[in-house]
Amino acid sequence: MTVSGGSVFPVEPQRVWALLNDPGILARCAPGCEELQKAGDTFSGRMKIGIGSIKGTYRCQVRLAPASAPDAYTLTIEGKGPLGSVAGEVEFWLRSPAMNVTELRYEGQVDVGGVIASVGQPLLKSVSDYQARQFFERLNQEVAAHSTAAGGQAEP
Amino acid sequence: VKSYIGRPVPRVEDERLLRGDGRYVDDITLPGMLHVAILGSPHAHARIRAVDVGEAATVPGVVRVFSGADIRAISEPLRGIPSGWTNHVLAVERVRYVGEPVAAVVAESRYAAEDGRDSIRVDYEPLPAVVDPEDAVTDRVVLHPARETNTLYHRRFTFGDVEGAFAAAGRVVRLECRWGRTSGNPIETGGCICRWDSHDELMTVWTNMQAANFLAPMVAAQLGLPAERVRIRRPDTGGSFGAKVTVWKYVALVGLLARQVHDRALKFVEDRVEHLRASSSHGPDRRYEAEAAVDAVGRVTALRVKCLDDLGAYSERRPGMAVKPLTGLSGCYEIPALEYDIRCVVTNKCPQGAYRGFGIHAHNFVVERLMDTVAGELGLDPVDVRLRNFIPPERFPYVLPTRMARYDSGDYPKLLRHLCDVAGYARLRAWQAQERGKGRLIGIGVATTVEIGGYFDNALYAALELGPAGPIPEQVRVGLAADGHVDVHVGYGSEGQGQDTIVAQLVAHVLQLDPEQVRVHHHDSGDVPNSFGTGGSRMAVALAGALSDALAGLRGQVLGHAGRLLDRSPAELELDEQRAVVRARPEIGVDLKRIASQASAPIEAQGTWPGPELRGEAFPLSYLTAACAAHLVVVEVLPTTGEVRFLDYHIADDCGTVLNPRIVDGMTQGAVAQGIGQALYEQYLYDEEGQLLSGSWMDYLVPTACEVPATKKSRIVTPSPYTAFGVKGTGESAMNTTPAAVANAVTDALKDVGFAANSLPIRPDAIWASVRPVGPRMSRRP
Repeated sequence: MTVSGGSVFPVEPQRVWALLNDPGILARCAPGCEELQKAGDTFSGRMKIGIGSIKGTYRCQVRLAPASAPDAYTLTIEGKGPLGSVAGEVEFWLRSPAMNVTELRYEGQVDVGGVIASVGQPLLKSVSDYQARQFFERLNQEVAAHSTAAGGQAEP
Repeated sequence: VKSYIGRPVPRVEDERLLRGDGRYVDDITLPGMLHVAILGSPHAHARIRAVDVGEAATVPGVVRVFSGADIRAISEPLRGIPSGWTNHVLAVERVRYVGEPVAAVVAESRYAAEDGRDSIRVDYEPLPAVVDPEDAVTDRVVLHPARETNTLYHRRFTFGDVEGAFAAAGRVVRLECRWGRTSGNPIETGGCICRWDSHDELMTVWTNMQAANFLAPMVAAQLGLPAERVRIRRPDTGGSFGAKVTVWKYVALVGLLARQVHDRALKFVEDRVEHLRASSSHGPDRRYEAEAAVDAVGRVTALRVKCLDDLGAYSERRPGMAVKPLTGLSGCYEIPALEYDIRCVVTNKCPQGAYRGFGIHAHNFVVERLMDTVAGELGLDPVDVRLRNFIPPERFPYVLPTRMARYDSGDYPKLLRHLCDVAGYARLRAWQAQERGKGRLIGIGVATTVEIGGYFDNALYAALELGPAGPIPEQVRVGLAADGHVDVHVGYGSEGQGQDTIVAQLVAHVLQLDPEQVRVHHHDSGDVPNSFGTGGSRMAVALAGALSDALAGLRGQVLGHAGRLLDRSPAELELDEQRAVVRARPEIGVDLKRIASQASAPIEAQGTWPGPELRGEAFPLSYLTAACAAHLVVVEVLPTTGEVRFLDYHIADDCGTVLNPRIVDGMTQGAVAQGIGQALYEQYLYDEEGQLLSGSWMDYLVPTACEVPATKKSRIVTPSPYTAFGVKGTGESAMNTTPAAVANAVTDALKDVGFAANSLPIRPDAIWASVRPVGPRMSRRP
C-alpha cells in the first residue's frame, strides 16, 4: 500500500522535529497508542488498531533514520499483532516556505499481512489516511499548546 | 404395484433440519470439553526463526500451547501425494501461505484460546513470495528446497494421431483461458471434536469431514494409531462440495493435541476467515492454451489442451483434479485425437483440495469456449457446430480415446434439439437481432457437458502412477424389524444431498411399502457397512446397486417366511401394501409385522455395490455412467456498469432414470448457483506479496438468490445399461456447463466489440472497459 500525505505547522521545522522525537508527545498523538518508549533512534510500543471488525493490539517498532534531519528523514516501521503484521518504510520531508511555517510531506510503502489484509483490505487505505489525519491534527494541537507554553509565539 | 422410482417424494431429511433440530459438530458439547484456537501465518512465505509461547501459556484458561516444534516431536508431516510436498500440521521451519497454522492453543473456552493465541510471538524472516504460477515454473524461488523445483507434476498424455490431424487440418482454432480460484464455501465450516480415551486407547472423532470412513485409516496413520483405534462419528453436515475432505488435516491436528491432553475432548471449528484462507480446499486455479484442428465443415479432428494448474503451497491432496479431465477430455464430442499437457506447480497460496466437478468443470469450460470459437471463426451457429461434433447415439457405449472412461449411453443431438425446442431457440435469435438493433447488448449462450458418475478414481491413480486404487464398494445392511419397519444401515455421510430419501424410495419400491416405513441408521467408521460415501457423483448409482442387491436377499427371506405362514410356495407370493399376498388371490396374505415377529431368525441381508470394474489395463475405467446436460442462457450486458443480467435460463438434462426429480433439480440449481459464482463473482484474489485480498464474504462474492435466476428444467431419459434401475450419477453437471454457457452468452452479447469471455470470473470492469467506446456516452452536467 502506498501512503502519502502531509500537514502544515505554524512553527519552525526544528520545533516540529523536536516534537516528533518526543515519545511522550507521539504517544498522545498516535491514535490507539497504549505505550511508547524510545531507545536511541528506535521507538517501541503497543498500539491498538481496529479496521472494521478486525481489532487487535500490535507491538510496533519504529526506527527514525535522520538522513538530513530535520529536512528529511526515514521511518522504518515494523508491527506485529495477533491478526497480522505491518512493515514499511516512509520518507518524511520538512520544508519551511516562510518564517514560522513548516510544511511536512510523507510518502512511502507499507505492506500489511494476515487477516487485516484479507478482511480489512477494502478499508485499509481510508482507515490509515484517517489515522494519519488524526495524528497530524493532534500534533498540531501539541504544537499550539507548546508554543503557548513557550511564550505565545505562534499567533494564528 | 406402486412405483416409487421417479416420484418427487419430499426429502425425509428436511423437516428436522428446517425446524432447527439438526445437530452439527459445533452443536456438540461434551463434558469437560476444551477448545482449540489456531494461529495462522501473516506471511505468504517466511522462515520461522522462533515461536515464543511463554506469555500465551500464562493467559487465564489456557491449558497448553503447541508449536511446530512440539508437533514435529510427536508426528510425521501431513501425508500428501506425492510425498515430500507437505508441512507438519503446525508449520515447521517455514510457512508457505497466509493462514498456514503455526501454533495452537488449548483452553477452557474458545475465548481464552484466542486470547492465548493473540499472545504468541513468532519471529519470522519473510522470504520472497511466489504468487504467479508462470513465475513458479521458472524455479526462481523454490518453495520446497528438498524438491529442488516448484513443478509437482508434469505429464503430457497423447491419444491418437494428434500431430497428423493438426498437419492435415484446414484450420486451427486457438484459445487462451483462465479459470479463477474458487471453492465450495459450505455454510457450515469444517470442524471436529477429538477425544483420546487413555483407558480404552481409543480416539473418538466427531467431524463433518467428507468421505470420513474412507479417510479414517489415513487419519489413524497420521495420528500414529492403528486404524481400529480411531472411530469417526458423523453428525449432521451443512454442505461440503468437496470442501470438507481436507477437514482431515484439522482432525489430524486436534487428534494429536488430544493425545497430549488425555481424556478431555478438544473442539476446533473454523471461523469463516480461517475457512476462506486456510481450509486447503481451494479449487482449480488454471491457465489454459487450447487448440482445435478443424475441417472444412466444422468438425473437430483433434484437440490439444495445455494446462498450468496453481496447486497452492502443498500437495495435501493428490493433484487428482488436474488429471480427472482425462475421463472426459473431449466433452460430449467424438474427437479421435487428443492431447493433454498438464503441469501442476506449487505457489504461496492456500493448497487446493477438492471442489465439485473435481477439475473436469474447468476443462469443460475450455472445450465449450473452444466450440463457440470454432463456430465464430467458421461463421456457424454454435448449436450447429455442436450437433456436427457430438458422439452419435449409435456409438454408445463409447470408450474415450483416453480409455479412462466409457460413456454408457446417451443421445446428445436429441438432448440439444430438445433444449432448443423448449427454449424456442430460433425465436430467441430473431428477438435478439431485433433488440440488438435497438442497441441492447443481448447474448445467447449454449453449453453442454458429460457428467461422469459412479466413481472411484482408478484412472486417476493410474495417471498419477500410484498403482491400482482398488475397488471402493458401497455396502448397506437391511433388516425387517418386528414392528414391520425396514431398518437400513448405511456408512455414508450426508452433506445435504438427500441420500436417505433415495434409500427410503428404493426400499419402498422394492418391498412395496410406504417410504415412511423405512428407517435409515448411520454408522461410524469401523462398523460395517463399508462405505466410501459421497464423491464423484456416485451415491445414486452406488445406493441403487447396493440396495437392489440387499433387498433381493431380504425380499426372498420375507417371501420364504410368508410362504411358511401361508402354506404356499414363495413363488406364488408378492409384496403389496406392507403385506405378502398370494398373487392370484390378493385377499390372502400376511402383513410384514407378523412375518417379522414370527420369524425364527432375524430377517436381514447385506448388499454391496462393487464399484467400477478393474480391468488390469494401463488406464482402467473409473466411472460407470455418463449423464449429459445442455444449458441455454440469455443475458443482457449493461454497458454503463458492465453488469450481466440473466433474462432466461433453460436446462435440459439426461441423467438416465431419475429416482427423485425434486432432488435432481435441487442439486442442479445449486450447481447453477456455484457456476454463476465461478463465471461472474467468486475469486480468491492474492496480491503480489501473496496476501489474500478476498478473505471474507464481503469480498469473496458468493452469489445469493438475487443473482441466481430461476432456471427452467426439462429432461430426456436414456437409462444406463450398467446400473440398477438405469440410474446415472448427476448433480454437478451444471458446474461443468454454467460457467461456459454464461461466458458464451457474454461473448455473444459483446461480439461487436470483440470481447471474448475467456477469463473467469468475467469482471464487470473488464466488460465495462470493452464496451465503453460503443456504450452510451455519460452526459456531463452543465
